[in-house]
Amino acid sequence: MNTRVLRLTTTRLPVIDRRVVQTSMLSLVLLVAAWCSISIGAAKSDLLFPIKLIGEWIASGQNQSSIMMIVSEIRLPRVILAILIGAALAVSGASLQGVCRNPLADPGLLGISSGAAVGAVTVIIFANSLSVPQFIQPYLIPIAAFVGAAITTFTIYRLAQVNGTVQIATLLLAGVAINAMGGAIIGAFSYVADDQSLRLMTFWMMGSLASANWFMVAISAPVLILGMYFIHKKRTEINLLLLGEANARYVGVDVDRVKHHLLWLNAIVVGVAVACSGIIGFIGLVVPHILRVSTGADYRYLILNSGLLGGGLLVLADLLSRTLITPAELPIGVVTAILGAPFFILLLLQQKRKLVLAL
Amino acid sequence: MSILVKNLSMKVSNKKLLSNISLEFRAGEMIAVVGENGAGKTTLINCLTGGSFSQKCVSINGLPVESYSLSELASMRAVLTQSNDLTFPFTVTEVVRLGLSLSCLSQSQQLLAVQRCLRKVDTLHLKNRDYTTLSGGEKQRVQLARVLAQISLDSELPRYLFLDEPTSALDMKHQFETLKMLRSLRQLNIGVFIILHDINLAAMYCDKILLLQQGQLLKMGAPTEVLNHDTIKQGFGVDVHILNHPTSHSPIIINQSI
Repeated sequence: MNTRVLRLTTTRLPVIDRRVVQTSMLSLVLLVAAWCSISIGAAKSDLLFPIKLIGEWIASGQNQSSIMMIVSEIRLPRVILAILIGAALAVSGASLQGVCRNPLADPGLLGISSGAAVGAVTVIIFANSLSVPQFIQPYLIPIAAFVGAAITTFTIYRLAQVNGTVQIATLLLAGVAINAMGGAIIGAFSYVADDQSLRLMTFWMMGSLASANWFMVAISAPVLILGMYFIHKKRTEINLLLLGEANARYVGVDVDRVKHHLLWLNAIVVGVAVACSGIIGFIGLVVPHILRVSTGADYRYLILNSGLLGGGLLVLADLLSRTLITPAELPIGVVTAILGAPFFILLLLQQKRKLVLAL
Repeated sequence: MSILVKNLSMKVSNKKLLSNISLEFRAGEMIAVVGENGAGKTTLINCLTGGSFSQKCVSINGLPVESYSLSELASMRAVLTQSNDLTFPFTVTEVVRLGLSLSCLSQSQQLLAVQRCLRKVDTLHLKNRDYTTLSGGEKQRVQLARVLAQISLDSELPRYLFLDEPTSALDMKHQFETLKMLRSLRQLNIGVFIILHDINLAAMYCDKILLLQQGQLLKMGAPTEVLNHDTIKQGFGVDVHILNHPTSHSPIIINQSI
């Protein structure tokens, strides 16, 4: 009896410990990335900036020096937005891969990003001919991007719906079609665009967090945090959906309801993220895969861990994008792809070797 | 306590998949469903379990199947379908634990239940393996452990297990062991409704055999009643010899000529 209890304990504890260690490590990576990103920049770098910032807030409630103004008004909201958007894209990628039972799924595949891009590009091209109140001007592109994302989601959702059920295969195909159509519209617009619009369009399509400010954080944070929280709440159902829809129903999942909820949650989260930062590829696709190889495929942990790693990676990518060629900035989408692609290929090669050994 | 079916008919775009089927399936008995390809075996399981072809004429423990919520149904009956592929690298333990996802057991109780179910199907040694790297037969046994976990081996309530060809990828030893294990579940108040293509296995291990032909219930009863030359000829269109098993005396069916 004693031996049996002992054996069970030794098999159980390492599993739980491993999960806690993994999540703690990822949280630490995120914190270190955020700390570095607040401390380092084109104006001045000092690893004590975060402490000084808190000290000044406690002491006087406002920032004394101009460098501390830069840290609190430019770097800090930018880091927070990077964490939120990186986390949102990774969580969205992880959940879409689960719902679609497809390792290639990410926010880009369903055409949501593409729809957002069409919205943004339309405004960039026709901004001069539109008469909108002055105070809306800076937010015109994010608003248009979000509207584009919402219209796209509604379209693919309607296309894929058969008798109240969302057909995943049709959903993916509709996403491919929407992507192609979005590409064509953007191509046509870039043909008629003037030089300045073309430059703005190109930068928006490659993503940037340069326009981050506290107002943007205040608007997007509640939506992104709540969206990710509700996606995380569906983690058990996503696990079961991976068994196949029929099997999931037999285990007690209301498959149609879960699919509807997750699709709309993703549309909202991705729509808001893309509206704030433009299109940032690779995070949604790569982060869940990195975690599956290193920490396992179980969605009870994968969603939370994806959020942490996605946030951390985007903060690092943003740090590189604004420090590599100072005073200019590299588009963040370029950095995520340059860093992500080789790492992803390395992971695939490792996985291939493991499979060969197992067979 | 039983699953009762009265005049079940099923039509999909003018094709009759099932017609006029009435039967009773009690918790604690083991019924094999046999019949040629496309006879309606899987469709019958789908109707009986409140799957996508939910029917009004099916009742479970006295109540119509549609009056139960999905989670209530999940605690009363589990279904093993023919698809057992997973896209992502779950471990074997994680796969079996999926069967317990909506239960309210604690983490340690869940792990104990998982180990018990894995032991039942002789896969405990695979518990930390990546599911996607298992052989077809191993995957089938792990999925069987998952559905066993779903209906809980500790409960005393009447429960039902529906298995769609659970032995199709198993070697001979595991076919025998799996059917023996399933037969032992009858003592736990679990009914086993199993689609089998090996009629000899069905005759040896099951209490009743249900023979389907083109969506109709040709015959249902004890193996010795159902398995004779005429019904096999009618159900499968083949001529067979019926022998007797030397110890269990269950019918053994062999081809008349090669």
